Amino acid sequence: MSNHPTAIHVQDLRKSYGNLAAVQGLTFSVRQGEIFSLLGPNGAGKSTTIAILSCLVPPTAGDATLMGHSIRSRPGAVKQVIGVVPQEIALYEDLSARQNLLFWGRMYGLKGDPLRRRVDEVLELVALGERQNDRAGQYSGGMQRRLNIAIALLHEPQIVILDEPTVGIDPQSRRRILDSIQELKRCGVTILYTTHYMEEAQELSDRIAILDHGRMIAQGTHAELVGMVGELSRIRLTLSRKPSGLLDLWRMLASVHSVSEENGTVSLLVRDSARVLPTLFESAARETIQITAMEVQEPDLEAVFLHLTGKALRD
Amino acid sequence: MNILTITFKDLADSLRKPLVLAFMLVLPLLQAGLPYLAFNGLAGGLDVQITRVLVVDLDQPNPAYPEFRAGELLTAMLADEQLANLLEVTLSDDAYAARRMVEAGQADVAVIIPPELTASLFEPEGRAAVSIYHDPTLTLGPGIVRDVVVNFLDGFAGALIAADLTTLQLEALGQQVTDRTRQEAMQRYGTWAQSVGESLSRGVHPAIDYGDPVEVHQTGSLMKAIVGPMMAGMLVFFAFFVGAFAAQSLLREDEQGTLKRLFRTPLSRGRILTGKFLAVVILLLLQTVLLLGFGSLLFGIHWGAALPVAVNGLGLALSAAGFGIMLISFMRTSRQAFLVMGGAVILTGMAGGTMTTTFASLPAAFRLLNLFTPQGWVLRGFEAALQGRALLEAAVPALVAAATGLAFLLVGWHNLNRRYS
Ligand SMILES: Nc1ncnc2c1ncn2[C@@H]1O[C@H](COP(=O)(O)OP(=O)(O)OP(=O)(O)O)[C@@H](O)[C@H]1O
Ligand SMILES: [Mg+2]
Repeated sequence: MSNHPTAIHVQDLRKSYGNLAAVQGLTFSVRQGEIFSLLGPNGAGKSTTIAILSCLVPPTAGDATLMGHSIRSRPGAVKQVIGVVPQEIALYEDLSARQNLLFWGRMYGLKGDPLRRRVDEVLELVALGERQNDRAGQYSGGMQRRLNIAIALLHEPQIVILDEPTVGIDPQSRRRILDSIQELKRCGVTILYTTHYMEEAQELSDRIAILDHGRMIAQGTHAELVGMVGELSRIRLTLSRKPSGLLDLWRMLASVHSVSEENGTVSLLVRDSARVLPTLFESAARETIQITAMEVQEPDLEAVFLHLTGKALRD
Repeated sequence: MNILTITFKDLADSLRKPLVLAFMLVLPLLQAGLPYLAFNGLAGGLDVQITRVLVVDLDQPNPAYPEFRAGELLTAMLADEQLANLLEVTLSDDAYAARRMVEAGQADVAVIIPPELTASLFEPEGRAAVSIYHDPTLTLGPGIVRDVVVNFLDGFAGALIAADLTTLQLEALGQQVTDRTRQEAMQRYGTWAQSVGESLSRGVHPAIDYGDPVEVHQTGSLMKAIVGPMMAGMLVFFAFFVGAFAAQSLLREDEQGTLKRLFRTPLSRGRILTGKFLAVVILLLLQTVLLLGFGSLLFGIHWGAALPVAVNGLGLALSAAGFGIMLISFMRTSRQAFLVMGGAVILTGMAGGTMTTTFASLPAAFRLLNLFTPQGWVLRGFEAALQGRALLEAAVPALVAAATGLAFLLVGWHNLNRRYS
């Protein structure tokens, strides 16, 4: 891998909105042909990072280069080598999928036969060929998401940046989208992907960076990241009522690494779950609290996030 | 040519909207057309409209030249057959009786020409006042009478100046200046001024050739004098509405995320905004051409010479488009925009005088207020073209309007840019 040249290099990138520091000194590199994911909860700064990389907003400090072009000095060149799929669906609902693609293709300087051919190709890629002449406003959420992606691929960018492209859609559409991203990778396209679904990051990515509050808290391959939590496994418990003092009790247990609670669901990071579980049940019973649901997870990215931030990635 | 791709997409978008078409064509034509129909209906039963004028001519000739009397000229002008279907002139020699008749409702207007009118014309500092006495509830008839009198006196003011100039020139040449020479200069000027006055009252200027004079006679001059400015007012008023509506495409694109997406393409923001601005300008030009065309087809309006009209059309399109884009750049949501922009366009439109084009005498302060709105400037330009004024007079307001339009565009550009930083 190390002999692959760099596609994206981000150096100490910062962005503040007034007093709010949305991105606080990000540094990372993405190699050509790699799928690199930014994983983080709401407000972590994923979209802000992408807005800066696509030259939509200027950074407060730092710089980034994409295929060697600096976002500060060569924004025009940067925009030509990247295709961005925005988090919100951004297309003309009054126009058909085909008309949308023709319009956006022209925005990238395509025209005539090459444009028409390319439109056919991307319609094929996102499996919208059959419905290409229907108004985009009449599409299901999943189809709109796919069209949203297709628009970014028209000019055959070397880097494709996707900002949470699978939010709120049915499993079938999600599958199609993940497949077409794998397909892009096979064609040698570099992919920067953001998500707050750890399963997606795990499935797709060559490497993952975990973001929280505008900072990178870890990066590496899935195996490297999970290795950070060692033998720790994650236990999720649902309790019959508010636990009050119980959690403090658990925190004092030697094999419990961390405890966090949100809306009645408690997440624990523990060593040797089989040994700890009976203790948890006993102490809960003493406080007359029932454990109504339980889930034990082998070490995963969620556990990494819990380990590093002391809070759950989701919910 | 990606700019034009944006332009044509926006244009097609606007033309699909029934509301835009209503504001573009239907409403302005209705607004200007209804009064036209009403007026034509009234003009059919002409007896009601005729104003009864009593002229009391007390003017005394200069004993040295008894054949010239200014009072006689004024009386002849009022009794001119051109005005026969509007004014019914009767002569009287008793000023007091004439006033009593107006008070008693037996006459509508009394015009009293003072004895010293002619004499005042021969003295460099001469002054004489023609009195117009009328029933205060009437406006139209006395208005016409006043116009004729003012026209006449203006002509003689010019004549006095002409005579003075002649005197000066002759004296400079060492020639003897007699009252007769002065009078000849004045009479020549007076004849000329009178012919200009008559032409103007028909809506034509003798210095400009309008082609077919028969047509001018066929359509009533007064009706035309009203419906032309009225339609110009409606055109300007509704063009700003259409400009504001069409500019909302920026806000819609902002809301649906496509503006951000456009900003992410290699196209510069300046070009994107130019493309969208052009769409609004072209839509407005289309509206202007169609309304001017309908105006002359349906109401027989002669808008003026081609060049001044074209310059004004362009000025209107640029200022209304720029105004719309600037307004939009201050808005956050389309819902907000709908109300705020409607209000802003109505207020500035009224302040600009677009609703009051047919009011005979407006206070000077209001005429000044007009010029604090872009609408006021464009309207001035169209009115000047309608009155057949020189190109410069008709074009300067249009150029001012165009320049403000571009300044508005820059403000809008600045605001939009700030949103994405
Ligand atoms: N234009 C803006 N003005 C002010 N604050 C902003 C702006 N854009 C983003 N922020 C703030 O910056 C922080 C990071 O936002 P960002 O959208 O980058 O997060 P994200 O990781 O994409 O979250 P999500 O998963 O919800 O999309 C948030 O606190 C957000 O409120
Ligand atoms: Mg986001």
